[in-house]
Amino acid sequence: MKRKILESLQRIRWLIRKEFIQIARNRQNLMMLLLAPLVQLVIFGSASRLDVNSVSTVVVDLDHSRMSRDIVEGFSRSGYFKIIRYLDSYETVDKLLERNIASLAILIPPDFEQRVNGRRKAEVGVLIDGVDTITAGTVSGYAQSILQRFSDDILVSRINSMQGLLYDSTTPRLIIPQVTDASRAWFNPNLNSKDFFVPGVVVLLLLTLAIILTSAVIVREREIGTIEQLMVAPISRLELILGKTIPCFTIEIVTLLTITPLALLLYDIPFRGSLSFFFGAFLLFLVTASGIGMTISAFCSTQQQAVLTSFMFLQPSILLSGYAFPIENMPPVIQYITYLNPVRYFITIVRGVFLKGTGWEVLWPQLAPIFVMSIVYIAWASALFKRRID
Amino acid sequence: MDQVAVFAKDLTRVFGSFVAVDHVTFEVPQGEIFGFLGPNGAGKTTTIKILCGLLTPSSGKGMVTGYDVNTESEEIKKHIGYMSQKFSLYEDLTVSENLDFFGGVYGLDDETKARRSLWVLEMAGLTDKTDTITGSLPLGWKQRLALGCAILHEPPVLFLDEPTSGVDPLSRRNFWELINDLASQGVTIFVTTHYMEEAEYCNRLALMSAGKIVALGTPSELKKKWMPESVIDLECDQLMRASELLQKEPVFSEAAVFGSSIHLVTLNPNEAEEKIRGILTNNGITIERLEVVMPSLEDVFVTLTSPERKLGKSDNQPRTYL
Repeated sequence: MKRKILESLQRIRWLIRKEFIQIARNRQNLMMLLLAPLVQLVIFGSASRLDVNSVSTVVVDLDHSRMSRDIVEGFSRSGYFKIIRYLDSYETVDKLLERNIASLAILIPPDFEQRVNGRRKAEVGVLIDGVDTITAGTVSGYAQSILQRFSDDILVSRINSMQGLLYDSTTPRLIIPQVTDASRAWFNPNLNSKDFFVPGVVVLLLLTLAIILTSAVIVREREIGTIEQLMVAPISRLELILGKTIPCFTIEIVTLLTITPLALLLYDIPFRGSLSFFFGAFLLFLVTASGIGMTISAFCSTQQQAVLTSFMFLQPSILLSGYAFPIENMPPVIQYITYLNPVRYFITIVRGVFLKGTGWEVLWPQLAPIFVMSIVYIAWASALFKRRID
Repeated sequence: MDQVAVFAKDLTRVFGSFVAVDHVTFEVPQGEIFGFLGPNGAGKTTTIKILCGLLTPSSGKGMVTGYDVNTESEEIKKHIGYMSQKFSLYEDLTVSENLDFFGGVYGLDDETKARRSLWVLEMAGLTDKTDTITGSLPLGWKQRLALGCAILHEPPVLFLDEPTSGVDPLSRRNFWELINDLASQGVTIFVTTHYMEEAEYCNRLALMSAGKIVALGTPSELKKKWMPESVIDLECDQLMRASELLQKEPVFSEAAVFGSSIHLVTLNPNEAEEKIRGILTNNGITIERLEVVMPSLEDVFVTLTSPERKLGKSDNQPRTYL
């Protein structure tokens, strides 16, 4: 018995050794394997942003009053808007928005100050380029809050002046109740979208690497015909699978160990949770991803097919993971589908560990489905392999 | 006869409703070169896969070097060598890395591996090419290396599945010399092939068609037994047209184009010759050469595997295993 296990380990060792020689020998692929995740981290990490700052803004101030200047200054002081041009008429505004030169226009009518002083309703026009709905929503929120503050200021000064008229006293009797929000964003106080996205980028990079690498490495054996030679050798299916997946796993872990510290350093994102829980959960996730890669490989005969099929799988699983689009906003049917997506759970775990510092006690309900899926995929792949040999 | 190395009794394998191997029975003694001949889809590869322990038979019995294909496939795998038409080597590994890997998975110890690798390198003429990337070797050398990797662990039985397809004739001859050497050392060789001249190298042949063994014997026995008729070798112009015209004549049981000539099978060569001359002259076809020849294995092959024969003659005669 002991001798049998030893022999089996020897065979696995030879398979692993061979795999590493093959991986190291193909320089082009090796560079891709090592460099692609780094490059992708830098690009995706910097690119995945929803924060709005320096929105190109044009101003059409037909009033030229003190009040209109105050409004414009309120916008430019906020830091979110960059005033790129002052115009004298409304006519060219449309063109500037159409050509993407400006994404916001502030329109102040000629009688603005007069109307305000005349105790009438005064309107400031705000035109937003609505093509990008997410940015438009954010921008509109900022604009509203600036205008709100402006009108609050007027209100307060009016009341103060009225106090004097009514009571001729310095102590005000009339108190206007004001409810203001004192909301604070927990876990991400500055509402940095990079804190939200970068942990997700790490997950996506490793998911992509694991699925493509595993499926391609297994299919290659079939593509070049060596699988037959391995099947007639005294190598069991388990030995073969381990001999194939262990080298892939090693590469994935090395990548994880480089990418994670790099992400923390480059993007200055917090890591509040436990390191051991993080790596433990990540290992489980990588096992699941390898299982998916193995399943894909069972359906494919060439590496090209395997890579294409992997992408077919990756796209929906990224879109439906909550990485970029909140799952709560999806139609119910799609929301149910996301329950089948391991990435959905793992994104939650990783964000929890990075930003909230939560661990096993809170996140085990997310970990459990990943564990179940790892078993399902590996069992499925192994059934497919068996059938394929028959 | 010596010990039986490979043995099959009523071996059957069914895929769905398709019977790939249909009650195949034979015995191969140790040290014999046993050939499996037959058209594509006849069941040769399936039979080999069963004997190699890759597939389990649906029914029947099979033994390879004393191990049962139904229950002891793991043991079988340790005691056989297998080489297929695909030259299943790692093209991106060097020659010695390939030998190292296959020696490793067969569990050879370092000393045995070194000794056997040296032997393989000499046998394949690759002694000074150990650090060459396998993919850059000529096909014939790759094939010898593949053979070497398959027999590194000194298996008593060697399965070769169309081992020389795509290889030039000289390499093929060299390859068969190696096979003959192995057989003379007592290795049992089980080979499938398409090449008729290769079939002539075998001690005995089994001809498979539609999952069944339709004939079994030494090459000369097969020729004698299955070709009581004469073969007329005819060379003429308008080959295709001539073949079509002659096929209609009942005196020929078979008319097939073989390269630049037509082979006509007949029980009555004299009458046939007259017929040929008559028909072809009437149709303005010039006869360049006409002679009665010794039937080749290819003739046997075509006769036994052509569809009309399956229904007629071969089924009327009792199948005998020689």
